[in-house]
Amino acid sequence: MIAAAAAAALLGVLMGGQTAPPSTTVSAPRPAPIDDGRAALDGDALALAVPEDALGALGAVLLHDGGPFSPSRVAVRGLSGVRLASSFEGLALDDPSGLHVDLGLLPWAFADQVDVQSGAGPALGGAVRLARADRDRPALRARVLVGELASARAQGMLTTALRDGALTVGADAASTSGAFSFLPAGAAPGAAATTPLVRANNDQQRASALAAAHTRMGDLHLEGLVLGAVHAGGVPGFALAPTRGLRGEDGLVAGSVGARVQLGAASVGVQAGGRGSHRATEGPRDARSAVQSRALGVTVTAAGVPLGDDVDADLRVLGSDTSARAAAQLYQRVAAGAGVAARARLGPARLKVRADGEALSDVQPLFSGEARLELGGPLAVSLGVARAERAPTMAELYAPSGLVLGNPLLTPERAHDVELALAYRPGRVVQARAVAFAGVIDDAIAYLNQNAFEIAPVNTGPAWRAGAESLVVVEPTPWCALESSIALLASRVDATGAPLPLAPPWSSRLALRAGERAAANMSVLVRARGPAASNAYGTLLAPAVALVDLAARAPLAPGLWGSVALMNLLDVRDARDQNQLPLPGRLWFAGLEVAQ
Amino acid sequence: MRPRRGSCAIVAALVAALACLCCEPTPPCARRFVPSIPLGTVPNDVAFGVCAGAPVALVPASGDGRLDVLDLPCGELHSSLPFPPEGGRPATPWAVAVDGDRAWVTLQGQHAVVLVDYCAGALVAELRPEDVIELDPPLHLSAPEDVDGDGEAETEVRRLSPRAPEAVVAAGGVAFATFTNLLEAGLDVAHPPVIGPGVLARFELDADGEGPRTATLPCTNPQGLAWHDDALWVSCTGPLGPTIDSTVAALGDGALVRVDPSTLATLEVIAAGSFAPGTPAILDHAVVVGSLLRPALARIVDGGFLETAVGDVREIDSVFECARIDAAVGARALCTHFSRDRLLLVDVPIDDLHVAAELPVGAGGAIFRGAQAVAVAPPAARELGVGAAVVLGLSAELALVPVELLP
Repeated sequence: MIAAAAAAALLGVLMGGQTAPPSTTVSAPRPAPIDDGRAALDGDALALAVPEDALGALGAVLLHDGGPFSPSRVAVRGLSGVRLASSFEGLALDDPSGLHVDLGLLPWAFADQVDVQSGAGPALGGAVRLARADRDRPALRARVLVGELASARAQGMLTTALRDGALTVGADAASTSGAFSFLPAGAAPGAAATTPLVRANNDQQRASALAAAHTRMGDLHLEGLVLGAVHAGGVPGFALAPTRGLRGEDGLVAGSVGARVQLGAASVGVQAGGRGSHRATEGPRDARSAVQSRALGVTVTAAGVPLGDDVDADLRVLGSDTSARAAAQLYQRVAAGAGVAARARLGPARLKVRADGEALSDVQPLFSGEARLELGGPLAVSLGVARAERAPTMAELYAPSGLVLGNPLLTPERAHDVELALAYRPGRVVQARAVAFAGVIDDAIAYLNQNAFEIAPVNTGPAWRAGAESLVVVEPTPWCALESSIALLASRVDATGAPLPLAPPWSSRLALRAGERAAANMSVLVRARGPAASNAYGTLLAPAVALVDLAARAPLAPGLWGSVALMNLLDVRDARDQNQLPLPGRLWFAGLEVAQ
Repeated sequence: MRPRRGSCAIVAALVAALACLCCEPTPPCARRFVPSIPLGTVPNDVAFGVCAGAPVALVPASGDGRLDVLDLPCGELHSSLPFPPEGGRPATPWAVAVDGDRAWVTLQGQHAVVLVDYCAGALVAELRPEDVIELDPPLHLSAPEDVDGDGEAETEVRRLSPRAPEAVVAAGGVAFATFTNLLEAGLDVAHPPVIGPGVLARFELDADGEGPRTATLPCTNPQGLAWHDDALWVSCTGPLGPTIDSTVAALGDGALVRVDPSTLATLEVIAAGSFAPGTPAILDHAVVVGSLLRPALARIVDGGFLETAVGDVREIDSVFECARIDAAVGARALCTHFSRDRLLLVDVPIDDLHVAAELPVGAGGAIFRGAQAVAVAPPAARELGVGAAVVLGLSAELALVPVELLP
């Protein structure tokens, strides 16, 4: 018994991440539901940057500049950047200019759940969607975190009851020197390089805030949400070619107000929202580029409209106005669209279909759609086909950033995917999910050299990708759990004969927890990926990497938790991300959490 | 129950087959011709050398800050020599020239030229010119930096220690390197490049501790060098930067300069206008050079500069480097055509210049790989089937050109 307790204390695992706040959902992660073809995970917001563990469990791969709070982005089935959408409780957080959003700008500190929608859908390559678990429950939670590289983070969120609703406010701030030690990569076998180097000009500062409220007045439901995030920091450059004094700053603000009323079986709502962004880089001499963009939009929806026995539908109409300003130039796009999503019960199965269309002022119309057939039970099966189109962004068309050329001749890129998903849930001890997918991308847009000095986005023709993902959770007792996920991906861009850039052929994650989630526990996490092409030609490979993290968390007093984490436990200091950027060696962090 | 003999035979055959597959010796490097060898990040130049009698290729990987030595023709790494950043300043190894078992490498980011034992992957010496160039009128920087080497940062530059070395050639214990003295790159029309006069430095192995000798060139931005017999040519692009109409253009005149290898005295200056000449090749009775900014070649004969288009000269394109190749019919030039992934075999009769053949070194088309630098193989490499090596800068590859494709 003593040995078992000691082993639990030594090997305990925190499955959802290193430092879960007590107020977040702390049940063991369940296999993602397959009813809508999307993955979901109860999880926590990892205090360091973004929850790489949670994203990894959902089949996503992270790319980051290295170090705490550094800019990062996510890749899903080989696609990333503007091909993925991001949102918080339905509020779009995409940059209106069409430059991809730094994942660190998303409001992780205020989210309890993250979904990763994989494959073609409303967005071309998928979506990262954040949400709170319970918007109504009054709560106070706060956390401070300190660690190596002069890293510190403080965050707090308060939810208080309103009449038939709730008000939530939150704030989050983080800073680090970011100057970590690393070794030159062993990219070339036999490379004689052991002199430690320092990743300089890598300081990062971040802050974000949230205000959200909702209330009910009879059948009328009102809600409002405002999010803002800013980031500033050094732009370090390549491993052995550091930049000197190049700085970057970016900010994102988004907000919406909405009203919804129940009319019979249907819920009719209107939502008005807007978002804006600012991005700038500057060198030691002067500003290199600055782009401001904003988008305003209105959406009218009617949800749950009955169309007959066992058939209902959601209807949606939207309009938006988007502009980007840079170097005294103003670019504008007006769009209007409509969509319908219907559900029908066919005996034991459910059929879901969706169709969307959108007309834009500067690009040809877009059409997307999806059909999915689902069969429930202990062995749930889902078969879906989807088509999605992405309009070239204003950044791609007009290059408002000024760093590369625009290409006004670009046409939309399209994705067609087919996906088969299985979920096996015989009981609480073992749960499993497996997905196989395949798809083609037409007129894929890629940034290519036009000559030795100029880069521009180009429609490169077709590409294909196919793969499989699996997630297995074994939880024999509440104080011990094992979770394993593996993602396999094969792809080819016809024009180059090479795989999709930055897409590893495999990635995996293995997590072991000892100790109950609601008590003292310890966790070990192993995350690994295969070699990934760092360029469009598939000729420059970022070597495979495997990193181990260790974390422990324990209640210190009622409502007070302490946590410690060791990232990269084995101190691998020559690891690189898919962009050949160095990753830090072993780093320790400690945190205190208060939850009421 | 005893296993059946047939099963045992099948298992034994499988084991034997696996053993054959696993234990088959890897053929020696000399028997494996790899036409396309992956390189490190931002490869910038190539030169041939010999280690223990076997040919090797030397490639500075600028982005990785190292010099890789590759066995030929298989492309396996023989040695790798890192040049770490100093004070946050990357080394950016730029060009390499081989002289016997030593090689000279320009560290563009650290304003130094290093001598290395490339077979051992060891640094032998690091050299910086000690001369200081007086500037009148002075140059002005937008941010203070110590460019005169006195330890104090300044924005008004009246004295200049040679900086940003790029091209290098070497033979017989002597090396020449050009210092571009590019102090600030041109960002946009409002911020043109800040550049000092070009400098040529001569390094000697047996200099008895003396530093390199330098000479100020009558041109700016010297990015190319060629040395053959007693002829030493420097090519200067002039300042390059953005204009209202173009991402990059020549903001001043370029030139080709013939220099006395012994005294570094300027012997001849050939005006090149906006041609922005790259690395030239010295042939028997002419010099051939490509343009960094347009698909064009030029020949210099008897003081004349004659340009020949090899593409649509309204487009930005580059012929970065030409190299001399000796043939039975006389010397020719091999030139890299960047956006077409072609190696141009250039014939220069007495009164003409024409492309005799185009050798593909990449797929070309919309997703070209960027033929950038070229080196003609010495006899040791030719015996193994390698005629030339071309750095494909965008795809970070070394393309080996079979010897049978060359004259």
